[in-house]
Amino acid sequence: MKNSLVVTNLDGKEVTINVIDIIENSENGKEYICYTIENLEQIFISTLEENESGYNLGMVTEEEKQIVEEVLKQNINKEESN
Amino acid sequence: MENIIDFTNIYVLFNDINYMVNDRSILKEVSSDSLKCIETLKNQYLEIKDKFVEFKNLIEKSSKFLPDSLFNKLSFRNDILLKDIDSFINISTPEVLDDEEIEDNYFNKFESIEKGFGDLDVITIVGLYDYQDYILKQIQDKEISIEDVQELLNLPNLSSILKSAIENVINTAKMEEELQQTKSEQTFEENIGAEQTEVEDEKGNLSNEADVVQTEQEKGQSLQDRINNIKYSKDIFYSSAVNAVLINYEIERINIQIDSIEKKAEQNQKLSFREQITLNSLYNKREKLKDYLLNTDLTFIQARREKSMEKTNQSIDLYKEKIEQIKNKQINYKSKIFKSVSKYISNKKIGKLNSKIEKLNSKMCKIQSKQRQSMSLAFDFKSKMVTTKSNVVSATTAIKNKSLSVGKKVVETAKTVKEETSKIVSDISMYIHRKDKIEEIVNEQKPVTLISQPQILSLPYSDYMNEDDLSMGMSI
Repeated sequence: MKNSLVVTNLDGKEVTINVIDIIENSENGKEYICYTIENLEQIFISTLEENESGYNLGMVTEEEKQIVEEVLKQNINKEESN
Repeated sequence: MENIIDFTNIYVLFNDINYMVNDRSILKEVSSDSLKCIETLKNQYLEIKDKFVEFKNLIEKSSKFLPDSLFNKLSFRNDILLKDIDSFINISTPEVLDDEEIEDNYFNKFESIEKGFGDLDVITIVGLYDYQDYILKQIQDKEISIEDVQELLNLPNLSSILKSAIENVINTAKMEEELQQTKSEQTFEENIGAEQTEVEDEKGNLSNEADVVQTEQEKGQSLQDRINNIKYSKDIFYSSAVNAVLINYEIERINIQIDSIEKKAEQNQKLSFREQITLNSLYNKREKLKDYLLNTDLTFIQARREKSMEKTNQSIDLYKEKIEQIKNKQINYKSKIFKSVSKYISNKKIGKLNSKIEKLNSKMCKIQSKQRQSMSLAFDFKSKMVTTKSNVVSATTAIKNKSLSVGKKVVETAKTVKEETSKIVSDISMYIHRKDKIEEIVNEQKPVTLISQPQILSLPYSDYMNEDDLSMGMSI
C-alpha cells in the first residue's frame, strides 16, 4: 500500500493501517489522522500526537469528528468538481 | 279340653289385638308432621307385631284340631300381615319426605296392613261357627262335658261375642242332651213294648205295659184337660205336644178296645173271626199311632234343634252385624287417617309451593342483584370509557404537547445544528490538509501506537480507496 503504517493496537498486536489524510487545526496545532485498517472497510479517525519515540493515535471528540468529516467531504467535492 | 282352651285363646288373643288395633292413638290424634306420623305408626306396628307373632304361634299350635279351612285362612292372612308390618317397619325413614315417597313407600303398605287387620277380624269372627261346631262335637263325643264348657266362661278377657257364642253352644248342647234323653226313653219304651208283644203273642196276653204307663200318667184326665195342661205357645212345640196328647189318647182308647177283646178271648178261649180281624186291626192301628207318635216326637226334636239352630243363626247374624259395624268403623278410621294423610300431603304440597316461591323469590333477588351488578358494571364501563376517553384526550393532548415540545425541540435542535453547522463551516477554514505529513510519517518509520479507541467516520469507504487499494484490501 502507498501510505501504510504498522500500528501497535490496544491488545499489543500490530495492525497495518492505510493513511488517507492528516488534518491540522491551525488554531491550536492539533493534528488528526484519517485511515483505514486492513480487512475493515471503514474510515477511522484518531488524534495524531508526536512523542520522543514515535507517534500515538489518541481519542477524538464528537465535535472534532464532525468537523474533520466536513473538511474531508468538502475536499472530496472539490476534487470531483475539478 | 286343652284344645278347646287353645281354640278359645285364639279368640281371646285376637280380641286383645283388635283392641290394640282399634284403640291406636294414630286413629285419634293426627300429627301435622308426616314423618312423626310414620314414626308413630312404626312404633305401634312394632308392638302389634309381637302380638301377631304370638297369634301365629297359637294358630300353629292349634293346627291339629283347627278345621283346615279356618287354619289356612288364619295362617295365610296372618303371614301376609306380618310381612307387610315388617316391610313397613324396615323402610328407612328419610330426613325429607316428598309426596310420591309417602304414596309409594308408606301408604300402600299402611293400606295393606290395615286391610289385613280387617280381614283377620272377619276370618276369626266367621270362624266362630267352626268354634261352636267343634265344642258341640266334643260334647257329643263325650270328650268334654257341658260343665267343662261352662268353665270356659270364667276365662279372662273374653269378648262379648265369644261369651255369647259359648253360651249358645252350652244351650244347644243342653237341648241336644235333653232330646237325646227323650229319644233314648222312647227307644227303651219301644223295646220293652216289642218284647212284651212278643211274649204276649206266645202267651196270648195282649196287654201292653208301655200303654199302661202312658195311660197311668194321665189317668182320670179328659182329652180336653190334657190339652189344657199343655202350655200354649205359638211355635211348633205346642202343636207337636197337642198331637202327642191326641195320639196318646187314641192309643189309650185302642188299648181299652184291645183289652176288652183280649179279656173276652181269655174267657171264651176262642175269638170269632170278626173279633180276630178287629183285634188285628187294632194292633196295626196302635202300631201306626206309635210310629206316628215317634215321628211327632222326632219332629218335636227336629223342631227344637231347628229352633236352636235358628237362635244360633240369629247370634251369627248379630255377629255379622257387629262385624259390619267394626268394618265400617275401621273404614271410618281409615278414611279419617287418609283424610289426615291427604291433609299432610296438601300441607306438604303447600309447603313445597311456598318453598318454590321462596326459591323463585331468591332467584329473582339474585337476578335483580345481577341486573344491578350489570348496571353497575355498565356504569363502571361507561365511566371507564369516559375516563379512557378523557385519558385518551389527555394522552392526545400530552402527545400533542409532547409533539409540540418535540417540534420545538427539533426546531431548537435544528437551530442549534444550523448554528453549529455555521459554526463548523466557520471552523473548517481553520483546518488544513497535511499531505506532506503523511509522507513524513510513513518515511520516518517511527513506531505508532493506538492508545485509544478510534472514531468511525460516516464517509463512504469506497470514496477514499483506489482500485489498487481495494483489490489489495480485498486480497488481505
